[in-house]
Amino acid sequence: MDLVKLIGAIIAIAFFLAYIIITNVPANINTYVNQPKQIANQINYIIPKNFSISSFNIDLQNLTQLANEYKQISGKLSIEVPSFYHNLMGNFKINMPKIPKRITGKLFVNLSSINIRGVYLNIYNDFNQSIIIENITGKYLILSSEQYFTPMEERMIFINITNFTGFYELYSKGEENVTFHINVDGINFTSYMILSKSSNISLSVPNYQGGTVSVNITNTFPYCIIIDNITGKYLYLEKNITIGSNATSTAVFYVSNFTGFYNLYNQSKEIVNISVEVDGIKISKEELLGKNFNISLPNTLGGVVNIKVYNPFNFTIMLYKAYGEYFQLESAYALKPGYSYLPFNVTNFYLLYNNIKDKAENITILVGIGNINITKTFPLYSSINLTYYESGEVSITVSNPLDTTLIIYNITGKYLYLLNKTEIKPFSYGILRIYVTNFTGIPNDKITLLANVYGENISESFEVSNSLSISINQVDVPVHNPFNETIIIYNVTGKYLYLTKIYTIPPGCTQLLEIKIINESEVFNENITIKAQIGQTNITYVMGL
Amino acid sequence: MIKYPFTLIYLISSLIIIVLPFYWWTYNFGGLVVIETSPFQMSIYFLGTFLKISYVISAALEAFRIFLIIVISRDIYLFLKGKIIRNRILLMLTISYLVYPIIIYIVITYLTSSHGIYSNYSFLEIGKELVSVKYENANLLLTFTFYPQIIYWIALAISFLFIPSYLETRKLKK
Repeated sequence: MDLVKLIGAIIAIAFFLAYIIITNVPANINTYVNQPKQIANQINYIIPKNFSISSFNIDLQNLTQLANEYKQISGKLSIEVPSFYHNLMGNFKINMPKIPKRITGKLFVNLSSINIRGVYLNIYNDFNQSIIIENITGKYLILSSEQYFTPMEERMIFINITNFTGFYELYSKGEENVTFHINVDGINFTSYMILSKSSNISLSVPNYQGGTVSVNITNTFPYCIIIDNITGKYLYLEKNITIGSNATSTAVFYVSNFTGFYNLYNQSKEIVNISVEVDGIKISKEELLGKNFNISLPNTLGGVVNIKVYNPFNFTIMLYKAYGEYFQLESAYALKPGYSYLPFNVTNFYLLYNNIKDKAENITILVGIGNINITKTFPLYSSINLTYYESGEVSITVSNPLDTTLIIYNITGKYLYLLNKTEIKPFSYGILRIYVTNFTGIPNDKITLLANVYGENISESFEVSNSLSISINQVDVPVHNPFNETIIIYNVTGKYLYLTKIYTIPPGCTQLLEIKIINESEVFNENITIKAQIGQTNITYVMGL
Repeated sequence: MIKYPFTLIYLISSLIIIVLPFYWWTYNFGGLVVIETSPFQMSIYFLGTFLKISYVISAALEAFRIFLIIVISRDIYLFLKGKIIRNRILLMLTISYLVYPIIIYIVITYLTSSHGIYSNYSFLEIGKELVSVKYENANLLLTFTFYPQIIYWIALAISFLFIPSYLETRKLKK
């Protein structure tokens, strides 16, 4: 080793050490070691991991099912509108009987004689007015006809015995209860006595406070009317009555306090709530009951109408909504096959009547058949045909099992289109509102879908096949080339998918690979082969999805 | 005029070759790994990306270049002074490059067998070879290309001047 070589070696080593110190090699040693690993790791980011190609599925099965059902069945959903009354003017005449402030008096009843056919009673009317004995009832006893007694009248009446043995047994024990049904000036009351051998009983009616009153009501409306209820401070209608047009019927009221009622009635101050029904139209209002009692039903009135709806199908369908300008279905109803009566709220009968007369009132209904809702608007005076040529709005539930928002811009076919853009959040459901112009065409319709998934717009055409299910059969997979070498993807093949063309991805670029899927449901179960080139290296890579 | 023209040409050419900053050989493993190398500098590319470790390796090789420049300059100086010089450096460097593919072969054979990688790679000295590699569910078809640059051929040619140089100096010794 000569000196020059030594100096040369020292200079060389000094150079190398200087480099190491200046560029701080020890601190960067990890960079040098890890750089190849980092590059190798980028292989994992070429194909996005979270990209799920098979889960996006729009099922129009119900739509086609409905279309097929329509082929087989057809029917008219009819809504039978009652003849709405444009003018409900009219009145009730209520002929209140002369109601006394109090009724006092006695009815003296003596048992005169008994034979096998009947009982003879001697009756004396101590009331200062005429009375009618409407009935006398007891076990085994029947009064054959009403008995009229003038004031102070005394006479014998005969009561039939239906079963003498039975009667006599009760009579002997002193257990034969007899009820007297008495009417005094239209006021009904009842009284009791026990028949016995020594029967010499006076039946008194002292200070009778209240009771039932039979009242004649005349209906001057040109329509048959049902009075459901009349309730005031001192009286109420015992049960509803039906009165024909310009006819009179007897209504039975219960008056709780004759004195109180009499005072109010004479001053026409008895306020009553009246519920009447005019051919299905229910009306409630307050009126004053007095000597000149009139009820008029004004033009601006609304009310509830029970309307007959006919479901022509042999299965239950839902009627979610039915409404027009002046009426509305109260709530959703399940319509059983055949006729149903559904209550509708009418805001104004008069205007509704005019609209129907002018054929200007439309009804909009939302019918649910299975999972499909059909919205239809049609004139109220007609029926809606639910037949094979039917069109309507259909709501279809679509699930989004992806971890990204699915935006469906449009679904168009010859016979259908999407009504509005629909966004479905990750892992949730959305409703697609589709308008179908002709259900018959659906099973063979070609449909184009415009959607956005993973931020990429996709457009796909497919056919509504007999399988009744539609799935996306093309996905655009974003593939990134992280390397400084061009990647050429020659083919992605599987039994159920293939790449549409050869893709050249320049260094650092991302390209969308258009992959056609032949069978969406099977695609998960297969291995796919990717043929690609990086640099001068051809890679054949087999992977499971 | 000059006593040993071959030796002079050989020494000066050697110096020039050593000073010139060109790569001698390129080893391309299917474009996945590309190594450009000379005894005095080296670049390694992995999937098209330049590996920074190349700088450190090159720094060491550059130091070696500096050392050789000093040594050969000294030899030229002594030669011009009339001393007989027999410098084998360039010859050794160029010949050694023919050995590298053997080292590569040993390394690749070791790596593939230790990682369970199937490969049909057989020894390649120079030129092209299509190598098929099978690893798990991936099949790779790589083109190995090992070829020298023109500078290497020139260097090799120059290094053979050592033989006449040796002969002319030996004649003198007699």
